[in-house]
Amino acid sequence: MQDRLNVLVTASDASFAYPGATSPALRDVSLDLPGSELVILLGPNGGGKTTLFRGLTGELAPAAGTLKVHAPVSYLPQHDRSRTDFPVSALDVTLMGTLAERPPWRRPGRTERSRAREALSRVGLADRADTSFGELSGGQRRRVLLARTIVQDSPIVLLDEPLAGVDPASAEVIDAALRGLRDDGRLVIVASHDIEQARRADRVVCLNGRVVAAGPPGDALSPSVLQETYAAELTLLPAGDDAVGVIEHHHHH
Amino acid sequence: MFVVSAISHLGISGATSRLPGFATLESPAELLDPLFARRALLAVLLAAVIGGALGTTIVLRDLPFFTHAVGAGAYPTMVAAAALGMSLAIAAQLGALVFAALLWLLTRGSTADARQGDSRTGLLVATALAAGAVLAEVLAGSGSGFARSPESMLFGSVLTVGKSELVAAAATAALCLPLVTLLSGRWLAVGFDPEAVGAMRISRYDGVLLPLVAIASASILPLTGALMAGALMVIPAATARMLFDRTAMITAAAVALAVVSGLFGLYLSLAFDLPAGASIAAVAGGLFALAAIAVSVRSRADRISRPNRRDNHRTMATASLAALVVLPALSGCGGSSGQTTAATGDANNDRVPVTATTTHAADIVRQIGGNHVATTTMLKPGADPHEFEPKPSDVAALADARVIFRSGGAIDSWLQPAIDAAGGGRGPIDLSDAAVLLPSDAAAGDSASNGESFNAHWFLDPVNLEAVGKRVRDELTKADPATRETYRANAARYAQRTRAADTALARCAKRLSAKQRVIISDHNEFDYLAARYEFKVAARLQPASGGEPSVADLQRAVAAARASGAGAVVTSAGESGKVARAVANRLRVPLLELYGDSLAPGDGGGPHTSLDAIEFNLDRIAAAVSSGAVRCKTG
Repeated sequence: MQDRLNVLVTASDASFAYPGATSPALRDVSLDLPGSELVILLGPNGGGKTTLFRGLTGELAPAAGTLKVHAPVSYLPQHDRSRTDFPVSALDVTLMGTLAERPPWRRPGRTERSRAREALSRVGLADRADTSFGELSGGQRRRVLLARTIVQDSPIVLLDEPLAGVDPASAEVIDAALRGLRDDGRLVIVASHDIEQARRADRVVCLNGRVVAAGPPGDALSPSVLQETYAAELTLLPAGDDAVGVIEHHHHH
Repeated sequence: MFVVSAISHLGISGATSRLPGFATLESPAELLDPLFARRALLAVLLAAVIGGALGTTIVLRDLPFFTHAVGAGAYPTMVAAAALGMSLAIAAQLGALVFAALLWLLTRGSTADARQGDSRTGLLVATALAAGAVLAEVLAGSGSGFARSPESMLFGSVLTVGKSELVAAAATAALCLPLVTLLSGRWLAVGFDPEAVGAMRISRYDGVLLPLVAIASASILPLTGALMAGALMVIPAATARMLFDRTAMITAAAVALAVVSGLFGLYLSLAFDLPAGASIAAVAGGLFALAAIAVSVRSRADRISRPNRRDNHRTMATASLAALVVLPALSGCGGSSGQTTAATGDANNDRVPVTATTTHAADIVRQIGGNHVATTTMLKPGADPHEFEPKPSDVAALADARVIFRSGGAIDSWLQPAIDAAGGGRGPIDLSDAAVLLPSDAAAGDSASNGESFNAHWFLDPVNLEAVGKRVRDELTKADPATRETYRANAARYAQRTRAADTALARCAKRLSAKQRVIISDHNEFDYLAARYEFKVAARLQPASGGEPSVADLQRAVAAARASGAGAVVTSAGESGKVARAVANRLRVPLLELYGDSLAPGDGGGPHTSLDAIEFNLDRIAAAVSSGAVRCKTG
């Protein structure tokens, strides 16, 4: 497993711009992220969470500064267009995570199968391995796709809004599975809107076109940081939180 | 058991049993020439294996449209190859590869799946068809004759498969199976979740998939015809997908269903003398319908009680598949008993078996041979000679024939593969050799210069009928010297009748003024008639190449027609003649449906001999241009 102090991602003054755009979508990113951490990227829509993911997967090169990713990355996109009408079981889908490591002439063997079953049991679906993907509930399908990501065994795991639109039971299972990955020594980076989820992370990175704050939740989630992070975004905050008042009454512009 | 019975009927086990429902043969052995049967069977099996193996990926990746579009996509290269005299099969493969490469370039790098490439495929198809049509028009000037549509260029039949096509299909199968085995898991993973391709860190291998599907489609099309290619590449996998919920099962079932459809379709084709491609497609479609019914019955039963859904599903799937295999088997077995009505020894046995390609050729042979020959006509009256698919009985008749007469030129250029399928022993007699020929574009000169570019409708000139009659007399005499005197007498009588009719018709035409003897022709069918009776064809609406007329062509034709004061527009009965109708309406002259390529069907009205057709055509024209004052009916 990864050493706790082993830094897997290094960014210094990195900024990212989409082709044709006049200003960068995300700037001033300086981060050192080690293994064995659960990092939440917190920010509004358009704040740069997905842009940073694209940088981490290598899809988007930094326009300025440097971003170094020292280990393989696997990625669970938010809007999966996985097809529920496909003739595949939960196990089949999970096994797709092992395609990259196998040469084409190698069928999935016993090792791959037991790893896939292990990944399914981490998301609480050990008993549904042979169920058709299309017959599972939405939350269960998300968990299968998480298992597909887990089985890739990458030291860095990126997840875009893994809890969005998921039933509470599945959300709990997913949350626990992410912690399990963290405990295995992996660097787990989760993009989220959910401040409650952020409070339970090892580290929070607040993004709003730039890194507003980064650090342990206790330090980073101050009212002023949240105000700056969510300047233009009012509706997505959970109700009943003390941060709500801060954000609802102050506009940045 | 069905498979066994079909194979035995195909003569693989040297069966001596009679084909049920097959009435035209004395002995099945004549039909079941090892060459013919083995090739047809091999073609079906290869096509089924390729189609079944690749079909699952095609269906799950939403590529049926692409699969079907490959034929159209290969059109430009095939037109070019035809003009340059290169192999059409190689050109089809090259064109298919280019088509696939273009689609791959257009869809590459997008996270969209190939299914979202349908609009791009459509764009490419339209471009390819347009490019092919323009190319055909440009190259038509070079005088080389080639077929008019991509469909007819790719048209093939399992009954007339050539050795090189089988070799190409075998090579495709050899390429297909390992690649499908290696890569189908990746292709399906991409199709399952196209947006996560990057996340799964796998290559799409679409650069392999699209060319592979293109090559497979291009090698199955000429082998079996467009109908059967779709039937074997898409329908079995779609059927299997309804029945099973695991890809391995679907693939296995798709191959099995494709083989069953191919063999049973071939069996039906042989047993009931149906076109092979259509029979196979019908069986595949029938199996699909049965499976759909089975699945809907199951889901209804599920709704009523669903205690153990998955087990239920599997049982139903297995049961319905078993039923699908057994039902045809039962009907096959049932069919083979009690249908032993093959030709028994009747008067036919004393006659000389002769095969003619067209109704006109068959008529001349009957005029000379009388009841001493038994004539089989391959093209039915009114059939489009450009899209002919031989039936088993046609191949059998060719194998059986002592003499094969072809009309010659573009009308029956499909004959040679069918003769090859029949064993290839006897070369056809080309009747056009005995006729005085016009060039296909009559405006260019008086007589045909060379090669294939002559106008193939020589039989609408009585002088040609007389000359060709003599040629038929000589050939029949060679084949059956004992009846020499009868053939000579019949030929002499035919010559007399054609001459008498010609004189009468010429006299009738003379009653029309030179101004009245001006017509507009849809195609070039009536050039011989016009030349013989001194009609002027003021304009021809369709280009000689068979392509579509351009707007400029039409404007020129209408202007010329108007200036000439033509009294009628003539077209062949049964052709759509949309352009001819539009021009006739515009000029306010009658549109005449005459008999060109083909004589009238046996049971209805209309001319049944070439001489009658000439008279019928001239009579209609004379009546139209003289407002009914002049009729040319003799007798």
